[in-house]
Amino acid sequence: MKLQRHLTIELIEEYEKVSFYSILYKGEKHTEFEKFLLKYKDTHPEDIGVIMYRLDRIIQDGVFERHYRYAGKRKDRTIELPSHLDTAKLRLYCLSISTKILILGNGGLKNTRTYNEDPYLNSCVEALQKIDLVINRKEGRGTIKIDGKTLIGDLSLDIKNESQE
Amino acid sequence: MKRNAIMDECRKLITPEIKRSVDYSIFVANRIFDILESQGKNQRDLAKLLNKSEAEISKWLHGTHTFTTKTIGKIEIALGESIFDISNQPKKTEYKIIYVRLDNEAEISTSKQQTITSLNDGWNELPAINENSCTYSN
Repeated sequence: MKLQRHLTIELIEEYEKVSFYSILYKGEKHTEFEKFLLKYKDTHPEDIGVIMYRLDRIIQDGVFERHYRYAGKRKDRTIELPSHLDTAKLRLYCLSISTKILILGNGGLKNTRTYNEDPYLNSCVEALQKIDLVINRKEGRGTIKIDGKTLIGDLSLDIKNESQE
Repeated sequence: MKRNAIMDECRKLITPEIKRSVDYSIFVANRIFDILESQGKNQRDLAKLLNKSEAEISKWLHGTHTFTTKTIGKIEIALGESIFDISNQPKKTEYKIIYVRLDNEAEISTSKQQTITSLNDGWNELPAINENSCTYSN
């Protein structure tokens, strides 16, 4: 069954060089990244610590590719934290919009070789790919603009959610 | 500047060990990029030097490869530069000789310092202690 899910892109943290956004689905209290943190902070504190410190380094340096690994497809902006050099089982999926803007999504424990083999991780990446597609279209139409570290314009959007009954 | 309370709460989970480990990771990646840049090389050149595909090198630098000391060693040999400085030179310990003037048994005033790296050297170099070799201050 295909359902439309309404969401907004919310600014959650802003620094001198970088802004972090996340996704807030309609009717939900927490953003996707907040849900991820709340779910794993007590059970996987070390992995959450690694991801948080990576984000702190991104705050200092900018959203550069040496801080993350690519996920998704070449044509989209889906990335994965932490970097391949860090040791962690938790994966966080994000959209790297520019070197100054990172949209933090959701993720989970990676117990399979690729995220595609895990239905939940796959759904996290697919949701971001759909959001990226809509943002791209809106950028093309000029209804969303990137101004330095700020996303300007209509940040509310709908995506098709095929996994929800 | 905007902060998020849940993120700040989770920042408390960052330990000194995590910081050191992530900083090392960033150091390795930055160092490889810097060496390539200083030599006017790119990922493709490194791939040729290591007889690997560019896609594999890209994975090494951005992708899904886990660096081992063996991989780091191969990169160092290919680029002719060290990623880590692992010289076996022991650090020299520095000793300080302090000349003091004793005004009386209870009070020590002033000092003149000399730094040496070996106690033996120090004893050989130690000048005769007399009033002229010391600088006094109030």
